[in-house]
Amino acid sequence: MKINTSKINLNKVKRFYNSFLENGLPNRKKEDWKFTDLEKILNSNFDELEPLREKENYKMEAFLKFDHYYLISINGELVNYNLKLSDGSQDKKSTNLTKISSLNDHPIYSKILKSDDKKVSSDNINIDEMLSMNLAFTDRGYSFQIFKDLDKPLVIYNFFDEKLENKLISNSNLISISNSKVKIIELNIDKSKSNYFKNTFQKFQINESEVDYYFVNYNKSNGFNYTKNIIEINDSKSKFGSKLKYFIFGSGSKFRKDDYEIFLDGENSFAKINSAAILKKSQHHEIKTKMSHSEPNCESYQKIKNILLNDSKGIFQGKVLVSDRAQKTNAYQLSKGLILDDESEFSTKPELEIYADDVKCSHGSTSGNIDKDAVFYLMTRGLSKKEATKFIIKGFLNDVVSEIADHQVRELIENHLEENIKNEN
Amino acid sequence: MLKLKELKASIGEKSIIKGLNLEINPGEVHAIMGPNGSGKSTLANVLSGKDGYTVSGSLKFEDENLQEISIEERARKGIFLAFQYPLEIPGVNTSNFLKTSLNSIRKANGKKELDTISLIKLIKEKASELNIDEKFLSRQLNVGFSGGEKKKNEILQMKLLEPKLSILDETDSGLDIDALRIVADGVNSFKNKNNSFLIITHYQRLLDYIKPDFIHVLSDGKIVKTGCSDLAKELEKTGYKNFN
Repeated sequence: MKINTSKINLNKVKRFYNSFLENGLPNRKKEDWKFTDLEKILNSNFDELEPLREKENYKMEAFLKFDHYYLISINGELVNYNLKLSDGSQDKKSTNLTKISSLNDHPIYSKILKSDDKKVSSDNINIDEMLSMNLAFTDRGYSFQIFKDLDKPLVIYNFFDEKLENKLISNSNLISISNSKVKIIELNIDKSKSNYFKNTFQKFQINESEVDYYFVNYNKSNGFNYTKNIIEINDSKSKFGSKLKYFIFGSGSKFRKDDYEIFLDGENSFAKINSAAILKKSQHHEIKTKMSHSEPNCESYQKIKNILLNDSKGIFQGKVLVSDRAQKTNAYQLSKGLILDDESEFSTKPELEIYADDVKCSHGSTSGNIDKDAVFYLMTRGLSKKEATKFIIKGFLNDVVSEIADHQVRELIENHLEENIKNEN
Repeated sequence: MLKLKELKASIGEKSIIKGLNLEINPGEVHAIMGPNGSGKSTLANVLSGKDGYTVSGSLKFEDENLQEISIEERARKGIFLAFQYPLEIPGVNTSNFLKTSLNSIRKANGKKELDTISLIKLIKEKASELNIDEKFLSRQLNVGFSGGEKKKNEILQMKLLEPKLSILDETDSGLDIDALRIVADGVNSFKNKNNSFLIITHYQRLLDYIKPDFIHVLSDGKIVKTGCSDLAKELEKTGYKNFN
């Protein structure tokens, strides 16, 4: 696979472009890509990728029925928003939103400029091949800060249009939340009919805040998505602890690899990563997490649940790292795959790396087929095989869904999953 | 209601039921007793349509050939199996399950589906008759239920679904004496001249509370003796050894 750079001015991004050329795409020889050979996957789906440069200036409208703030992007490009708070304030002390349109605006570019090193030490961000690629081609994204409680959820609508065949989208986003309690729903609405590859870099800074974040892939698409998420959870002043609950509902994409590096950098911080997905039709989804506990008294929970059928592949690589300072850590990790046919597979690689002695860490992973006796039991109560299977599938995912506190969001997710269960098996 | 002629069932090469004849008429209570491995649970499974058995012979339920009817259709036509080991279904809310089950059976029988409010009212009414705490309705189906709670839940489902033929597969096992009495009362209050029961048990004690019209001894896949309630008392004394 080649990248067509004929329309790109490579001068400015030479350093990253060369580094990308040198390293190439990651393949299974790299431990982090062991289950997802991106080189092979992209080579067999694309001859040539062309970086997307067209920018959309038409406005899309928000459409969820309940009252919410919104931010709208098309193909990664910010096009519309409403962050005007109900109390009338829209000054820079409550919210702030800017557009990312070139490398200069990239969330970590200024830090990279200061260092010659391959590592951006202050951020613990390693500039690997995917980030080099992202930096070389990035031309779109959004950056927003919230300094005040939001009285309504903020919905980020990410629309993708139909004309993305063989395009490479490189976007970067910065989400920064301080001293606030917020609920964010990120909705991917993908109309693309053909293959494209999206390489996203996202950074979250959570300071003295409580954040509920829901990522929902709203419909089926042929998109190939890689997202690197750097999440820093901090509380420099209060020591009260910041809280992040992050839910991933990725069903529907042809290919996803969602990579999360979470840094629990403030004492008493809390992070939860929950995922529920129904994978089918040769879909390939990987969730990779690295939960770094660097301060004492932090808690982290991870629960990954996959239903797999029709030659699909689900992967969870989850690492918990507890530094020697992080005493009284409580970390929990569970991944489960429910495999509905012989062609599908679920692979997991849980890892614990612990340098402190007073910690509670556990991990578990299971995968198996649907319990035929359970199906029989439900059928003897008058349910058809399809209904019985649906009950069991929903029950399996309910473990994650029931943890959604907000009923509007829960309804949205239930509909999303229902849509994905429909017409199956 | 149920007519079995020369019923045979096997799993793979292993034959389990080897020519069983049984006729159950409306309003009758039949008990099947027999040692472990005699084919009692297989009979229950075959009647409710479980996959994995090779079945031959004639199986008629209200003059329809059961072999041509799927598991859920049998349930909708009025065959109910109370499981020896009710399955735990994680994440499935009990009242939601009961609602779906009852409405699918009502719908198949041309009855109006019940809305949630009247359904909850009905379930609560039946649950209180069985001394079941209402809280169980919001729990996950059978998950973390004690043995007794699971069995009571089976009887509750029976009373809700109002089957014509109820097959109770060792419903008495794992019940203490109070629970046994509650379960038996539940069965007795549901019994009428139109519905029938097939009670599978090892022991006589359940039959002290639910009076069978007939007792059959099942041994090595066949009914080897049929009698009235005195037979159970005899078996309690002598065991099954005379029938091997």
